[in-house]
Amino acid sequence: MRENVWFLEYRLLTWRPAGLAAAGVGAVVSLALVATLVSSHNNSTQLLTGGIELGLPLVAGGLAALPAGHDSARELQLSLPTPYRRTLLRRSILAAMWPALGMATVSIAMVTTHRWMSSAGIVGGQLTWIAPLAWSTTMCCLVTVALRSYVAALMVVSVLGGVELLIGSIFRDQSWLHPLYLPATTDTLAHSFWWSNRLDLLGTAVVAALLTGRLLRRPECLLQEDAA
Amino acid sequence: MRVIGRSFETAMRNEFRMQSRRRAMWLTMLGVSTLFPLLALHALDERFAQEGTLRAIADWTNFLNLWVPIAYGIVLADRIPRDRRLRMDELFATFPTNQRYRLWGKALGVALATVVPLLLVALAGAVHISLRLHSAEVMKFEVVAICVILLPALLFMTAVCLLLSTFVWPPAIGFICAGLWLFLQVSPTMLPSLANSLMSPTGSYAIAGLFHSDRGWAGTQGLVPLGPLGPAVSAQSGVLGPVLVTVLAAVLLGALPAAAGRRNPV
Repeated sequence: MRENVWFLEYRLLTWRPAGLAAAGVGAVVSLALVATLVSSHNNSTQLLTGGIELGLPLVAGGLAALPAGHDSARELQLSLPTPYRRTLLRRSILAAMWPALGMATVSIAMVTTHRWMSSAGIVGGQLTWIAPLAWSTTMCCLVTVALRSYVAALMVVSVLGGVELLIGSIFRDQSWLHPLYLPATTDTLAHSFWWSNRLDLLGTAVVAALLTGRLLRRPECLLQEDAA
Repeated sequence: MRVIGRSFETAMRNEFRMQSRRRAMWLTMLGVSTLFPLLALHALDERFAQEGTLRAIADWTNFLNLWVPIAYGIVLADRIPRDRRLRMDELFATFPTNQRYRLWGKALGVALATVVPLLLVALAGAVHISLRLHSAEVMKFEVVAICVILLPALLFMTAVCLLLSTFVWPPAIGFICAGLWLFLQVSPTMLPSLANSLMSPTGSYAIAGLFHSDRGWAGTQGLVPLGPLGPAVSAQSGVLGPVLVTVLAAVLLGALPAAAGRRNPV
């Protein structure tokens, strides 16, 4: 029966999350290819690492928060014996699954083509994408539920990604901002605090997940700011 | 003509009021646009002191322009899908006026309301620079910088995001919007981003031509030969750049009713 619920939820999501994840992976790989072909200084490894460390985790975050943002049967969910937060968790996992698979595929391809940038080796280095993925998905869900607006969550993660990419020195130069810095592998100047950064990201993800669960116990969280 | 005017004006006024009363819009726009300047305040102050008044203003406005259009575009992008979500399309189709004026009014209203918190932050930054540099001319320069750097970029994002929202899945718009804006900022020597072209909405020619600042990519020899779209940096090209971006945005906005009409035949 439980497998049926997962399968039904999977079908309800339609092809769109998979399509968005595929487009994200395609964009990252295409940019790396263009950089290889036209640029004199080869940045393809850095572009691929940035893709799995910053770009695709933010796509995963946006997709994971989508079930918390839009559900026309939300009030009906409250009357069901299954807690609403459990339904949301199941949907978020299924939605974020596709970009996570994309990141895993790109990381395997990078290892096999000797383009792996992480100084923590191949196994420990997988935190390059796992830690930002956990941080981004949980943080997006938290912002969506806390501000009652999916648009706000999408904006916060997109802007954070943009700022970290364009002016990462703000985060790199101030030690108290290290736990928020997602591209610590892509940015070679940030390798000195790589392990603490990854553990901070995972720790923040656990706290954000617990806070989201806590907020979802309050029925008034179901009223959406976006409806205005 | 009077009906057309009223249709445009009513849609604009209503959308302006709705958008300006959204708590999430104010919280996120003010939060996003003030947070990063505050975090980088020390480094920015040092830069401003070295650059002098004119270049400091260009630097500050360009600093905002790096990421603020992403947030702005995402906030705007749910306005047209909202009409579909609330099943208002058929009701709008029964109205006596042509839907294009309502859509243009809606676009202008939502754009004007969302730009208010950004203008407040841009002017607050200029006041800070004015106090730091003891210069009374700062506010005058900031008004010019807003008109030639920030507003054309925001108008471009208004057009792109509203146009995308007529046919793209809403969650994807955020990532397309962020990806497009970041791509437009990338060094033209690393990727063919066209950030050094006259048509670049990042305001690179205005920054270099009018404010003599090297914060933009204008005049850089990129991977793609630009021809007439990559003229020498001058005051004329500094004015022409924002004008061309505004025209491009107006053309894209002109296509908005046709794109929306595919779903909503009138």
